[in-house]
Amino acid sequence: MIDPIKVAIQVASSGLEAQSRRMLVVSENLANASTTGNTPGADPYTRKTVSFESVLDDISGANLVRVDRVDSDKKPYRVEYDPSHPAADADGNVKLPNVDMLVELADMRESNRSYEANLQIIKQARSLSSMTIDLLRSS
Amino acid sequence: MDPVNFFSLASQQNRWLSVRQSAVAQNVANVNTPGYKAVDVEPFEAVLNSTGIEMQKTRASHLSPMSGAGSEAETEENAKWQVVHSGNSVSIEEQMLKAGEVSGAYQRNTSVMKTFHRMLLAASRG
Repeated sequence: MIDPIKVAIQVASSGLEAQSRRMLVVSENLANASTTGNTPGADPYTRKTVSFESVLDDISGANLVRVDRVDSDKKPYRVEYDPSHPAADADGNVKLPNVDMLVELADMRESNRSYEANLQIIKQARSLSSMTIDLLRSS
Repeated sequence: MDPVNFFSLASQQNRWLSVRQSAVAQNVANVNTPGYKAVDVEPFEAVLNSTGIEMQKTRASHLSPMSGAGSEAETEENAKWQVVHSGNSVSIEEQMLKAGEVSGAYQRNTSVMKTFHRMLLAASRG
């Protein structure tokens, strides 16, 4: 039988990893928020979305979390009229990425909060085991 | 007078608390997983009152599930907390509350255990 406190730390660290992958995707979207194509009529950067799934760990019997897949957002691109742009098509329209700054920032905040919650769980699990060890001390 | 088997009681509860902590950790890790339902362990009273029926073993070396640790079960739909659109019923606030409860109870248990041990030592030293 695996120590449940160890299992708790393992599960929380899987959460940390998943949330940091999510943060990576968010930063990719933010960095490419105005990346357009180079050739006339080319598609710009497409926003990426990340989704999680819960997987059962055989050894500990706990539900770990991991990144299921990274998809691209199906939202239509923004179109702007700018004939002098290198990516402008015959009508002078440029396709801009479908990244919404506000959505990305909200996503980042949520991911940050979940990361902190996982860290808190690890801290508490550590303090539980150190309380047990303290039983041996000073008695 | 029946002897007070305090140490076994306290260690049993500590084991239950650590299983609960791992259930909370699962919920927090899966806070953004679509369709995930929050889990919790059965209450300590139920664990304590269970008669401890175990599965039949065909070999003495087979492992038996840890008795008195409780098992995880899906929580009854928690009406107090929200279920988000993706079907996830975990609320971070609720889980943090539970984690706080667990660590408080654990600390209380270990300090009572310590005191009990000191009393035993004092009695045996005379």
